[in-house]
Amino acid sequence: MTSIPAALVSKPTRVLPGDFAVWLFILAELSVFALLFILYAITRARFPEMFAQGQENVSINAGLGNTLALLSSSYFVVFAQQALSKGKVKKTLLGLALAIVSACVYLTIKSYEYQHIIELGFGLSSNDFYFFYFALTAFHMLHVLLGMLVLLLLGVQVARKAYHAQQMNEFESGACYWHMVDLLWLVLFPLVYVLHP
Amino acid sequence: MSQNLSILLLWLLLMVLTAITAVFAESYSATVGLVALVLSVTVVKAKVLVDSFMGLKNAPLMWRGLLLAYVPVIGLIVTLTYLF
Repeated sequence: MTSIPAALVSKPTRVLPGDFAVWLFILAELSVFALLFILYAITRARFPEMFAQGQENVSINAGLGNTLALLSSSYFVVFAQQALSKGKVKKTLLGLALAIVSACVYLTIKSYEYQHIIELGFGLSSNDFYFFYFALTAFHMLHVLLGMLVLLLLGVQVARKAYHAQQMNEFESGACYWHMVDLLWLVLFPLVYVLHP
Repeated sequence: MSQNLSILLLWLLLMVLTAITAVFAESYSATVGLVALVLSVTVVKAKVLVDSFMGLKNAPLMWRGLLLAYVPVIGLIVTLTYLF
């Protein structure tokens, strides 16, 4: 039996899901957040007592709820993407709708969380901890809101049958943006809610 | 195993890891060891998200590498700030 020369064996093609431009945007977003995360960690190391006191007023249960809601939302987006690749429009729309509902759960928890902290008398300018807490979480929440809008627009396009198994680039771009929002929260959750000085 | 089932199981894994992290951190004070452990679990969660949810497992190595390195690099810097 003759063996095929290694040079002739075709390697699996490595493909980046979604648009290249979206990935540049994702990279820029990750860089900005990385800077904020590092600044938070350095400031926490400089003022451990201030951060310890501040974190006592931040509910770990709220952070946990936020994380579970965003992870679920990401799962439903994958569910929708898999359904779309099989041409199942109703199942795709169901996945997107559940992803948006999960994001709404995140927003509800976040609004209760902010209300609680504001009622305690703390705000953006109270001290360094609250500055970072509000700056990081509110900036992230803006990304969630933008992501929800993207999911909604993807839903409209799916309903119009604009996508199919060979034409999913736009859908993949939106999905990757949404997963990036989730990835950022995966870092934010331990940093702000779980790890106390 | 079907793709749908494997994604469902990975989602459940992410949920369980998140809950364990929160319970663990509530029970113990933040030593450097605990910080490293919590951030290691976060690295595992990020790998699942990047490879299976984002679908970068078969993406060009540079992009996959950048995304996979993101959480470990930040985790390492955060752990170092607990040392000094």
